[in-house]
Amino acid sequence: MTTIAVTEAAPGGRLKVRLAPGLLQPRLVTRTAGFAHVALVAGGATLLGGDSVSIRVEVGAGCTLRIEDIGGTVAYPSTGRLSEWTVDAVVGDGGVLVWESFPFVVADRAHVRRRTTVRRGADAQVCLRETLVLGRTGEAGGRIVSTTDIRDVDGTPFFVEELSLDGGHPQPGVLGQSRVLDTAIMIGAEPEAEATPTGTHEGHVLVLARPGAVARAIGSATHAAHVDDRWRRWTNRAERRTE
Amino acid sequence: MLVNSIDLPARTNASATLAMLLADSRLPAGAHVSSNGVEAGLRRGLDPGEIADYMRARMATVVRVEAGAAVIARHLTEHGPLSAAGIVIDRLGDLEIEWAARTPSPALRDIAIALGAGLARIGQRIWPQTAEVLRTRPLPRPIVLGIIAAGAGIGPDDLVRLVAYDDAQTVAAAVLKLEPTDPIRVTEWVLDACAAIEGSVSELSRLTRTEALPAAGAPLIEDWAEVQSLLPRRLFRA
Repeated sequence: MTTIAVTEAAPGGRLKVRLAPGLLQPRLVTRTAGFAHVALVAGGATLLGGDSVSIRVEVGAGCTLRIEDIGGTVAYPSTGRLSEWTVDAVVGDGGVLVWESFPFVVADRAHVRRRTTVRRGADAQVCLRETLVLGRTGEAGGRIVSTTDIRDVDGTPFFVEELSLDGGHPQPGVLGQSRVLDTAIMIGAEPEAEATPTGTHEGHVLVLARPGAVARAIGSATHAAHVDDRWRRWTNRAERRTE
Repeated sequence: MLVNSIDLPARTNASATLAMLLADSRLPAGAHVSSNGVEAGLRRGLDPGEIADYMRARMATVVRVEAGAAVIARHLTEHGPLSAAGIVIDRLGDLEIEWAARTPSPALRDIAIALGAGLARIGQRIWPQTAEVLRTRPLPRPIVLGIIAAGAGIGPDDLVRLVAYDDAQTVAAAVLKLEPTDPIRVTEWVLDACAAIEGSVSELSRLTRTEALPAAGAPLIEDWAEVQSLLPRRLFRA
């Protein structure tokens, strides 16, 4: 299991960072008194059938952690064996987690189970990006079941979703004929009011029932359907909090 | 059981009769304002030829969430402690938070509350034993349905079928207004969609725990719900 844990610095010092490698290797990029930036590098060809990537993230109270994937992930064709990608994150009171990720490509005949679980302390903020792409160029794409479950530490939910996609069996109303689903999730703050009406190529912002929002773009290619602008605004604001 | 804690002559009807009543578009509950995303969908690239598949996709996604919420609401109401409506109302509040976390589109949450209000108005009058819970505050339609099911006596599997049938028939009625086509064919699609969820009826009808509520998402349905709420000229509200 890959572990990334940051905890409060001793007075005058820098954040304590604990990194343990798994199928993905965490590398410390930089750290200050309240902020750490960690890059995640694939240790080999991930994700093959039967692979099980597991990432544990702990953000201590008042700390800000930025995780950045280096390069995207391809789930390769498998002979029926499931690949698993599991993220388990806990963000302490007043902490901030920003996870910048690259596209997750589900190749033909790949079969992936992806799980993201986040537990958030009081006044913590979480920004997650997930770009799912069905198929490499010219492919329709394989199967993925992706669950996201974001709650307060007491169990009260913000956003819970199980997406079941199969490039070979497109469903109207789910993704239709689109192959790209770009999602930015921001939890723990109200989204800013948008000056321009929504409905541009960046898609709509879904304002959640509890503080937070989900921005989504659905389309045929990552350069045409993306939520880059909102992601940048949301993460800039979140990271400014603890500077 | 909470719903028997009030001394009023309770109406007794068979579960099947009640399900027919609640699924009937002639019931004055205001459900005709919804197209279940079809109106915006057709403007955003949904092909009229895909409607049968759209109904089935809904069965695998939003219908699981709605039916699950109704079944759990029914369970919480039926098994609530005697004369303790407050506890039942709190538990239904927790269920509503779980439902809302699985319904990220504010437009979908709004229409569910509006349709729930229409149904709650009918429920309180016809089954006074539901009034204590229903009158506290506006609740989304699936939770109102579950409360009525507990009060009036609809079994959990009929309740799942009711939610599913109503969902498909709402799509069917909207399609016939928006893209008129052979109504008998559309009726066949409704039955095919209902058949598609039949294999899940037993699993869904056994749900009791709030956290176990299904969470199947449908990004385009959510997107279309937002598009629909902003359409300048529209036939349907949702």
